[in-house]
Amino acid sequence: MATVNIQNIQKNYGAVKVIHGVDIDIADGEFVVLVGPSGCGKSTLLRMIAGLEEVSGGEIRIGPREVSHMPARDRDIAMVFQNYALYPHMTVADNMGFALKLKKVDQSEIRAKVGRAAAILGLEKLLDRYPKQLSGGQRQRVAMGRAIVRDPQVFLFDEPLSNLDAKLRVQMRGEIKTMHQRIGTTTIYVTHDQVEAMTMADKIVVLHDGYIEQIGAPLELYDRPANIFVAGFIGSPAMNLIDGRMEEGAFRTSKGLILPLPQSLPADVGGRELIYGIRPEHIRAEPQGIEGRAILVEGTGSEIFARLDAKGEDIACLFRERFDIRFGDTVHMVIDPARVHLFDKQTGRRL
Amino acid sequence: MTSRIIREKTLDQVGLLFVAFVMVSPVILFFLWMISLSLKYEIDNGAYPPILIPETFAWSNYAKVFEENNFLLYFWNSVLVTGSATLLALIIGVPSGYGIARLKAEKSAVVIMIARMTPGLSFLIPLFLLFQWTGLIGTLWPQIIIHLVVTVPIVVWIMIGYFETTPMELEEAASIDGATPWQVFRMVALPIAKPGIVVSFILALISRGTTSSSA
Repeated sequence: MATVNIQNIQKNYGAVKVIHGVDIDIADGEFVVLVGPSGCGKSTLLRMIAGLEEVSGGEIRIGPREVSHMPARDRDIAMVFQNYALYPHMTVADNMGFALKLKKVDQSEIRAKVGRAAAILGLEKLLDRYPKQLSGGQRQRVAMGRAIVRDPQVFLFDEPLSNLDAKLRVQMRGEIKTMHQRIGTTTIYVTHDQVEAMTMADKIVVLHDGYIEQIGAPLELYDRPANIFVAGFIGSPAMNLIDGRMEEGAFRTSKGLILPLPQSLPADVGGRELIYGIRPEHIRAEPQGIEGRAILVEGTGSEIFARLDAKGEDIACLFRERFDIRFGDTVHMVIDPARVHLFDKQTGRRL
Repeated sequence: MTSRIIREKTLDQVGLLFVAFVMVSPVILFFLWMISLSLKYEIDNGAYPPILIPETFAWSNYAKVFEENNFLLYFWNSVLVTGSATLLALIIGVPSGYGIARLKAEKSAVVIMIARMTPGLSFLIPLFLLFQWTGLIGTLWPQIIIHLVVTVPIVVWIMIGYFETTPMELEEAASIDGATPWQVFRMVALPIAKPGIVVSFILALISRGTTSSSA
């Protein structure tokens, strides 16, 4: 187990810069998720930590060791790949024991360690099989087993659940989290799925175009997004972001809809172009509210997702109570002013 | 219902066997005819209608082969030359193919290809002089080396193609697991490439026959 310190890490391919000086501090035993849309540099960053990609500038430390230019094999890390990367010519047991075999660990000790990891993951009966005889979820477990057996200082996960179906993904998400709580190894996990990030992370790093947009605990990012990008990225369904200005103590959208503002506001918001952010789940349906016409209604049983057209503004709402709305119906919505987020349109920063 | 499926299946199998027989039959016929020829006296060879099974077998033909020339030695030399040329080609070609595929060194692959495309005869005189200077004339080495000119490019090119299709993640996983580049090659890349190695082995073996003229 170890801390990981990333200081001013940069990566360029020729003249193209893909990571622009990133700093991340990871505490011992922490579960950190790097999240962002595709092409944001999260996988590249992970591969630089793993030693699979050259570092163009900056420094990576694992514990007290400077590893920026150390070959992957000396970094004492384990990685789980998106397509599992199981050695097809080896049995499950040999796959899991490969790293120990390279370290010239005693055969009997390898067997004991593999057995212990297999017990944690419920793989005891599959040890003699080959990867091609396993299902997706089982392969995923073997890949995790291979990492556990190593007992490395850091676990790296590169979108490990993307190849699984939705149900299995939720199950494996839980298993990875449980495994982390049980073993406590520092973990860096890359995903593009913000739900995975929110449910698993101790700390989330939101990346966008090679820059860090925000670092924080999941609820911190949800409650106080630092900028428009994070506001729109974290949370599902995504936050409503509406253009407009402040006028006479209320918010007037560019299409003329009046929306309520929180009690305490920064002094200098008047006159500036603003973005008004409200999460769909913070809008309630009540008779005294703003009138809107339903242009999309999706019910899942536990909740109703609706898009309402109010004076031309398209506002997404998530209602927990069950009531009957159909396409074209008029719905009255009440926005909780305490949960409104305001952003400067020019800088994108939170106000 | 099930009986119909079974019947269809047997029909499929019979059909498949028939097609296979038709396709292979010329080869079998040719082989049988060779055996027949070897057992016939000269007079029967040109007989019309052709005789497949002669009335008296000419076993003496076989004895003659061993009497008139040193057949066993020649046969053994062939095995030795082919075997070592193919083996050497694999030992040189498989790692080179791996290196070229991983380093994306297509240019060196082209150089190897040019060596293969140059007419074999153009090598003959320089190589002859070379072997004369090095005193290798009269041994089997010149033969083996000449065959390498053909077999190495075959092996290299097949292996490049094969290594390029094996996923990079496997090798990355191995290096994270603590393998040195050589261990990655030996313990992961090589075992996965086994089918490719078998194909290039067979093709290198076959190609020997076409170059024996320069021997």
